[in-house]
Amino acid sequence: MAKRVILAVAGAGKTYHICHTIDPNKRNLILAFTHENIYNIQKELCDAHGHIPEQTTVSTFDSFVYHQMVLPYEPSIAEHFDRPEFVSRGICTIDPPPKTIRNSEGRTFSNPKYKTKDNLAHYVTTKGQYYCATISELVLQVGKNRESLVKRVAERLNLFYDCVLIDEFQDFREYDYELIMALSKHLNDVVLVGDYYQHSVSATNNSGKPFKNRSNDVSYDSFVAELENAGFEVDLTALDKSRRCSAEICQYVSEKLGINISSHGNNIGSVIWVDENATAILEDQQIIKLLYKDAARYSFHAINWSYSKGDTMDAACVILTDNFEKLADDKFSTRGISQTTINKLYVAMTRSSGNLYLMRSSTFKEIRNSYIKK
Amino acid sequence: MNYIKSLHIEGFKKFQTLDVQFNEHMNILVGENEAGKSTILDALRTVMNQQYRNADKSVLKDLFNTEMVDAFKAAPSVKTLPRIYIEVELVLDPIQRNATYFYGEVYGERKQQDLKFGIRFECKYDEELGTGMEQSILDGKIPYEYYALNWATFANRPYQMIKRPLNFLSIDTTNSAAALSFNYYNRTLFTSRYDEATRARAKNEFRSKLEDALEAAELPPISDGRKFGVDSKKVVLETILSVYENSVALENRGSGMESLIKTQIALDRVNGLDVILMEEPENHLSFSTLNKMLYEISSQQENSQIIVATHSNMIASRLNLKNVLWITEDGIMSLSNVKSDVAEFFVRADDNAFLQLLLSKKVFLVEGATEFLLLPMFYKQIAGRTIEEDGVSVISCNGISYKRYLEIAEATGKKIAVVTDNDEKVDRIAEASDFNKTHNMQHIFMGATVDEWTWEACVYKDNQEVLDRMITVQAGAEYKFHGRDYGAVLGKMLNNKVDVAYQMLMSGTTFAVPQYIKDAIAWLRE
Repeated sequence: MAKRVILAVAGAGKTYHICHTIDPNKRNLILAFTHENIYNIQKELCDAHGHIPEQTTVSTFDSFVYHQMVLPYEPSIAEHFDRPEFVSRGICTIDPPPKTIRNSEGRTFSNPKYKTKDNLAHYVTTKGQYYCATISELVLQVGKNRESLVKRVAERLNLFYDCVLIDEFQDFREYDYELIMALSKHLNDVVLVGDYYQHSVSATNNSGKPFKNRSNDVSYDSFVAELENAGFEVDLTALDKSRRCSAEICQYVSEKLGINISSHGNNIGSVIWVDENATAILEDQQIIKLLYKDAARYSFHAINWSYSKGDTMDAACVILTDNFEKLADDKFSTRGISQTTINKLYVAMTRSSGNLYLMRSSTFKEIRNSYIKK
Repeated sequence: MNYIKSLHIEGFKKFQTLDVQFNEHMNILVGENEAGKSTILDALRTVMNQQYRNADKSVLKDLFNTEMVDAFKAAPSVKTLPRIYIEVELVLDPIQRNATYFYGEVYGERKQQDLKFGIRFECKYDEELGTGMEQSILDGKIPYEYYALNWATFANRPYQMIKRPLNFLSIDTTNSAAALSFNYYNRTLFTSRYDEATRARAKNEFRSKLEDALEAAELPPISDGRKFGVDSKKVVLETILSVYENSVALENRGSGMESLIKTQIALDRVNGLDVILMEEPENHLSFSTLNKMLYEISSQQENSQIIVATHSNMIASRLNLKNVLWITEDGIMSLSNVKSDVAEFFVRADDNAFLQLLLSKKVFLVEGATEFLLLPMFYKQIAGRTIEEDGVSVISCNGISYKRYLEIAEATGKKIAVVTDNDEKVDRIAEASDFNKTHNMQHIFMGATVDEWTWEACVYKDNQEVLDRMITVQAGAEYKFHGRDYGAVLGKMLNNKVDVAYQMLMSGTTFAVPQYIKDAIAWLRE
């Protein structure tokens, strides 16, 4: 029984670590949140082993839940909801009817179309398609007497896989996260890899458990404590150094954003404030600009902060928002700025393996109009 | 090891429902003609090889169970339309890459149940497709064209042969369309023998050499910018491969040798076949070739699972009676309960009538040829019907102790009358009488006193006058039997058992039937 969480810093090489430390002769299951993650993992596996090891399976979490935890157990699902005739017809990405709806005056009503979680209709459309959005909840819900579906599914995973690895696990929310935790309880060998401070950065799913407790953010320390309570051994050192970012950048990020990150020291790069030469930097093709939002509006090469997650750049220029106008001041504090925004900036500031350029919002506003696409 | 664990059939050909449990290694399907041996193999091929997938729907006419078709005709409605459902449960090694694709609880009833590996096949009327057919269905017409064939795994995933869970080969010697069956054989062997990379390399190499060869022929172009080229779709490597032995293609060998070589290759573990189906391998085989084939099979049976359908006594007993799956009216009966030493005995004594014993309703087990010839005549005389009419067989033990046969038959619940001799041994008479008290389905009949020590002695005793007249003896000749003098006529009968029996049979005379034989006939007819 090995249950491990490896908390990493940005650029520490999470994917690299996973792909290089697996035993290619074992039956590994690697799950990740997005197709982009999957693609990166496959590429890294090929680099590490020449090809994807025959016994290793890489899949998105949703696809895996659907194919391995729902479809083979459909008779149990039908029995659980007392719908013996139920035969599914695929899966869809439309969301189930929400619990409440708002009318044009902004008043909230309970939605008559909403079905509670003890109805099959909460998980399945009238045409018999599973809602992708509630599929993890479904797995958690089904059970008979004392035998939960989660437990049976975990037995399945133990039968077919020697080791289950979940990458970017900080991206999982609510029932997905709960399902991972519930499954892990029964798994023989599971490793979760993620970066606490990159949570809530992905465009989807940026609220809720496990990073929010009611409306309060869950701190790093209590997050770690919670994982330890769940029986995980939490490894804070294996991936605590960024291979991507220079010591200077890491130190700057730690100081300014209060996020602990140190450098492996193999790259050299400085933090450079951009003032007079702002136009030259914007027009430099080699430097990728990172904007809080609306990157596509501009003619220079730019990416939104949150979309840059997972990328490595030779040089990056982060264009700050108003919140961070005084970032350079010694007295700068993140107080009053939401954790989500801080996390997004953390991601943006840790993309460059070379120099990190920083541009104040005020500087950018002065010149941005001439770069707006016609 | 990967193998087929069980088969469940609903509404396929002969079977309304049928369940078969297979042994991990050897399985010998026996049964009357038309009992459904081939249907079982066909059901396995239908599921595993997706047979009929591309066939014209008119083939369904032959696949539906006739009772189900009749039931539909009697009460035509969408609900009563015939349907075929077949499930194959597998045992797979969870280490295997695709194993999880087959593992789930989507089989049998729709409820929470044990997870198993398997594939299911359903051939069902598609109501959506058949919109507008309702009236014609109510008129009793089966809308074959609107049936959908569907293959899925127990994990609720579509089954495609490309994801085949185990290497499965069917060796068909009954098919006269040699070309077809050969192609399938060669292709299956090619895929199971080499991994994907090796196959891809060979195919690629072949295609490019072929193109080069035509290029080298330097055909003048047809016209400007137009020339002949090789259409690689028309030359697919698998379709033109054959197995060559000493530069002779297998299909050019005699069909007997062909079966033998096919079997040898299939059994070889290097070729990685998990399950091998063989239909009547005795076809086209001489005694010695069959012998050789059986030797190959029995010495390599641990390598794979073998399912063989046969009519041959020799095959069934040589491959061990314990592996026999006997198809009866009431389903499949396994002979796995036969004692090992008995089964072992029949492996050696392959000149036996074991299958005949299985396939008859009622049986007389007799000592030898004399009884074999005369008992049917006595039976008709007493019963007024022939043994054939009553489904009774006479099986001659030919030196095998009847006790061996009785042990096999014990498991089958057949009614068996043993007609034997007491050989002047009192204890044998007592033993038989004890046996009869404790056995309902098996009785032993023999002369009641030591004077009635053998068949001939009894027949002679009751027919002395007729036989003295019929059988000529030479004056002065001794006609001793085992050194004892039984009188000339009986002595001649004992020394020339079969000749005398034949003479009696052909004489047209009505003979008195000895009491113990009458008893045997009466008991068997009860």
